[in-house]
Amino acid sequence: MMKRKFTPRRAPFVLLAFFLILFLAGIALGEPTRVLEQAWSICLSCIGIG
Amino acid sequence: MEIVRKLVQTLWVFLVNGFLGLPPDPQYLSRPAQGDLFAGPQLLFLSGGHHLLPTGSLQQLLLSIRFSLETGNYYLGTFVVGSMGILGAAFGRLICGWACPFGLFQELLHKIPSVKLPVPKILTWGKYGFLALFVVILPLVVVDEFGLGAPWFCNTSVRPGPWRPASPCSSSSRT
Repeated sequence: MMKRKFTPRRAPFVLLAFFLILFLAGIALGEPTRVLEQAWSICLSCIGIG
Repeated sequence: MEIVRKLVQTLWVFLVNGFLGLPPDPQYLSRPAQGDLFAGPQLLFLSGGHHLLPTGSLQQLLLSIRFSLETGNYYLGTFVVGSMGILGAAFGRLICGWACPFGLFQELLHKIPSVKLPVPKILTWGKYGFLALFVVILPLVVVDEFGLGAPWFCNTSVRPGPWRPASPCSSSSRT
């Protein structure tokens, strides 16, 4: 009986590594702080309250 | 299995929207959002602001990119794109089926007995064009006298009502 050879796909790991680099670069540039700063205030009229 | 999936989806609705510090804080609207990016909608009445809409966040970074670069800050959206890419590459459509509140909402709507129309072919690819145009191109290209773009995606496609799509979207949408 022949054993099926398992060959892992390489593309997901390459993509993961690529996006991980982007993610870390963003953190190094201080982007999360900026994203949260932009989330600080809420336009009340935009959410149907004001 | 379908029941388990529905339960998990419902659990995710509360996990990503719920403010665990009960009783509800009356000042919750003025609290900053916390935590990481989440691709689903957030419910206003469960507002905990623990997660942010990545498309809204990306749009906000891109519309103010000129201002950021002029002030020496390189906010190019790499953190947001990286977050989305990591989740997408690691989990794929698992998130859509098991963790997206919008998916749950759509599935429940689909259960309403009514005529179901097929999606036109153009819309299957049109969503990518829409994303590119309203999240990337228009906020980058169409700017005012101060060099700031407009939140096209939030203004045109996200009108929250009971849904609070994300704080970055709601923060500077112009009506």
